[in-house]
Order: sequence, then structure tokens, then C-alpha cells
Amino acid sequence: MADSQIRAKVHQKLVESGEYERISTHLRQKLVESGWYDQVNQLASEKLRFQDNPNFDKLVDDIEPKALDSVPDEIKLDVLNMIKNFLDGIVEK
Amino acid sequence: MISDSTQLEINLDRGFSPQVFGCPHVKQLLASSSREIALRSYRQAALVAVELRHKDTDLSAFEVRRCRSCGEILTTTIICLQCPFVGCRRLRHAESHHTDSSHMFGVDSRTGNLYCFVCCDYIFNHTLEEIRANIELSITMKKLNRHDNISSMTTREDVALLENNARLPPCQAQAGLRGFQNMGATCFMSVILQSLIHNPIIRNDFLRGGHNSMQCTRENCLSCCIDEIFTEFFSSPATTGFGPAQLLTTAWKTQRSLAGYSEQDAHEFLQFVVDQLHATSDQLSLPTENGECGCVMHRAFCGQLESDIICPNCNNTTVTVDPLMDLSLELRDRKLANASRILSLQECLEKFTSPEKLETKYSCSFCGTKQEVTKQLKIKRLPLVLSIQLKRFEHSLKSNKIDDHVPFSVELDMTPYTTRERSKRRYLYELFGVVCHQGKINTGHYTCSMRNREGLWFNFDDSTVTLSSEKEVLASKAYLLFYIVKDLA
Repeated sequence: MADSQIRAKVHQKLVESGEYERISTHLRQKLVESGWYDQVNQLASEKLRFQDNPNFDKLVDDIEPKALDSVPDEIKLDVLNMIKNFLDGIVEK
Repeated sequence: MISDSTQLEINLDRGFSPQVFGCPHVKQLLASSSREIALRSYRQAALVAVELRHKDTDLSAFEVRRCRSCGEILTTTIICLQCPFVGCRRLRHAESHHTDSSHMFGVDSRTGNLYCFVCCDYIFNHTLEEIRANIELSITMKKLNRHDNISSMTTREDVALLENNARLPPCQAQAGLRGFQNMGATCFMSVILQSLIHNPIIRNDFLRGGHNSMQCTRENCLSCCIDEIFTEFFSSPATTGFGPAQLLTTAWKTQRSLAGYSEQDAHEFLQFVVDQLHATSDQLSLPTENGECGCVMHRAFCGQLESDIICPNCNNTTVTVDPLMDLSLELRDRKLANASRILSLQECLEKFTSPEKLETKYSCSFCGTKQEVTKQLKIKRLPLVLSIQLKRFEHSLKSNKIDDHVPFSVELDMTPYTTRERSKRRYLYELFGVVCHQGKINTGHYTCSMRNREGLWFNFDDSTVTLSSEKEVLASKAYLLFYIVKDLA
């Protein structure tokens, strides 16, 4: 199977098994608990205050890199682990 | 009085929210001959989006919003309003479609919000929002299996009667932002009153006539005094500090210890006010279906605390449930390696709900032996409004105030501290008020910060009201914290 086909199948399984929803909820919870959500919210509010003609795209371009970068490593590892475990369960070695 | 140091431009004709919404392109579309087609397309797309959110394990729902260029299903996509194309944001396939086809509008396939490719922005439009909100409502109702007929009972005559005999409050009053005059060390009262004025549940109840002051015959009725304050704050154009003379007199007459000009504890005053508003409530004699008090104070603040006592010998658990009107949290944990470290709010809540071995031995009623039992507190039912006191004042050998900063956040997940800690559903709260105390234990000053309906934070220092920010609020040394259930925030 081509890579893109495998990817599509994995996404399919992720959704149907409910794992996508589980991982999303877990990630969101962790991001809130660690204060990351508040931080990014703050950053966005501040950027908006001082932007001329603010719009969504400009805001995203402005803060997305920093926001992604400031996600605590432990959360990244935690979610990567969940994904890895899921893949181990469905991919034949 | 709004201080000149505010950086936000306030358009006095429109209150505090600079009403910047809508875009000329959407306006033009809805004013053109394509209006009906556009609305229909929007409704279809918004339906797809809202339904998707409720079918998060249904592959077909994801397939519908798949990017037609790259095939991705797990990414934000925009549904074109004018043709069947759906494109993702991340790889700019939606943007490319706009460039190729000149189609200007799309609908976010998860939120249902309208996106304008010319403005590069999500656009708020009343007509479209009404459509989207109705879809959300009908899907939620379907989920809850409710088949209420949401038809309004008001007639045209009713509306005319209201319009002819009522007057809109002046814009300065619409926000209810006003300070209190300090009438002699009364800042402990001002801060608590502000916490009620900015409490959505309390505010809504008083503003819709929850206490009928006109017909109230009670002497020294605190509800009448609070009602007077709400009326003043939400209908008078005055911006100078309000002197709550009637409230003061009533409070003094009800509790002698409040009389005199000495500084009192704001938390004690809060408990007094909650108790008195309950006692003078119109709903006092009307219990709710489970026998509990239906007054606004209980509806807002009353939860249930479960106390479990476990016997280590026979493992029998004695469960007691008590009403809970507020939480008082210790700021240190003696059992930790660093016993004098000041905890964060979450750590305080963790400590509050963690099992504790009681030092005195108790006789277990089940196995009959005397044991060092373990006690654990857990919240059985969360109130709509969570009022938290951080115990900064120690009255041990020497009266001491803990002045350290206690970290807290705007969003608070209370799930781990309840009896449903392992629940999938999260019980989330949002901060709307903070009361701070500066100075020493008996000679201090209270100020507070409250959040308004638009999410703006304001500082209240007696009669001075200034614009603040979330950053400033989170850095303050909180004494009392007020959180409200997230969906009601």
C-alpha cells in the first residue's frame, strides 16, 4: 500500500475507534492544566490590541510558531506515546 | 470613574465594546439578489459543521469535510459557500480555491463560522449567526430528547406596550460599572458587593425582578438594599462612587458587630450577605423539587461536600454529605518535604481533597475497634458559582498574614476534586472575580477585579474603576476567588 493510503487508513481507524476523540480531549485537558491555554489566550489578546486592522490569518501567522513551541515537552511526549500505542495496536509488524 | 490611563478607546455612544464586526463583502452579498441562495448554502454548510461536532466517531461526518485537494480529514477545512469545494487551511488549499475561482466566502467545517477570503478573517454577521445558533440549539435539543416548542408567548401588543412605556438605560449604565464610596473602612463591603454585581447568576436574578422591593414589607431587608444597588448601577448615568447608605444601616441593624468603623473580614461579610439574602428572599418558602431552598443564593452557591471516614481495620466507609456554600483552603501542606512552601490553587484543592489520617483514635461503629481513621473530603455536587477563600490570615500564637502570591488560572477543572474524578466529562469553571487584601492583618485595604460580559477585566478600588487585564489579575495576590461554571460564563 502506498504511504498516502496507509496514512488515510490510519486516520480512518483513529476516528472510528474513538481514539482520535480520546486523544484530542486528553491533549486539550493537559494544555489547560499546564496553563498553556491561558498563556496563548493572553498572547493573542495582547497582539490583537496592538495590531492595525487585525484579522484571523494575521493573528495566526503571528502567534502560531510561538504557541506550538511553548507546548511543554512532557505533553508532547505524552501525546506521542498515546499515538504510538495506538499504532502498535493496529499495524502488523 | 474611568481613569484616563485606559489604552482601549471607548466609544461613548456604544458602551465598552467597540462594535467592530461584519465585513462589507458579506453585507453586499446579503443585500444582493443572491441573498436567499447564500442563506440556504450557509445553512447547509453550518449544519454539516455543527453535526460533525456531535458525531466525533462517525467517519462519514469527517469524510464530508475532507479537503478535496489533499484528502486530509483531520485538519481544519473551509467549505466553499458557492460551490461543492472543501479546502484545508493548513496547506492553503482553501486559499488556492479562492484565487482560482474568485469565490469569496467559506464556512469553517467545525465551528460553522463564516470566513471571508478577501478580509482573511472570520466574520460575525447577525443574520448568519442567528441561523447558526438555531442549528446548535436544535441539535442540542435533539440530543437531550427535548421536544419543546420554542414559540414565544409574547404578542405584538405586548411588545408595543413595552416599547411605549419603557426607556432604554443610558449607555454608561449598561455595563453596571461603578465604584462604591468608602464610608469609613467599608472597602471590605465594596469588594463583596462588586462580586455580586458581576456575578452573572445574581445579577440576572435581581435585574429580572427576583426581589420585589416595591411590595416588600420586611423591615431591614437586605434584598431590598441589594436590589436598590442593582437598580442604581444599571439605570443611572452617574459615574461617581455610590454611597451604599441604606445597605450599611441595614447591615448594622442586622448584625451589631458590623457597626462602627473598623475594618472587617471580607469573607465573613460575604457569608453574612449570602445568609441574609437567603433569609430575605422571596423564594424562601418555595423549596425546589428535591426539597432544597430555591433562593438565588442557594441556586448560585450551594453544592454538596462528601466526607468519607475509612476504618483501616475493617475498611468500612462512613459517608456524610453536607451542604457547601464556599471553600476555605489552607495554603501550606505540613506533610510535604517543604512544609512552609505556599501552594498553587490547584495544589490547595488537591490537599483539601486528599486522604488525611486523623490523629485522634475513633471507635469504628462497624468492627468495634479503636482506630486512627482516614478522612477524605470530596465534592459531591458542584455549585454553579464557586467561591474560594485562600486562608491567608493565621490566628495561631501570633496573628500572621501570608502575603505570598498564590498562583491560580482563569480556567479551573474541578473534576479531580469531585466524587466523579474519573469521569470523562470535565467540570470546567471560569474565573470572573478576584478580591485582594493589601497591608497588615487588621489595618489593610481591600480591592477587587471583576470580569464583565465581554471578557474585559476591571479593577475596583472604592470609587475608582480602571481597566485592567487578565495578566494583571493573574499576578495579583488573591484572597477570595470567584469561579463560575464555564457554560454560563
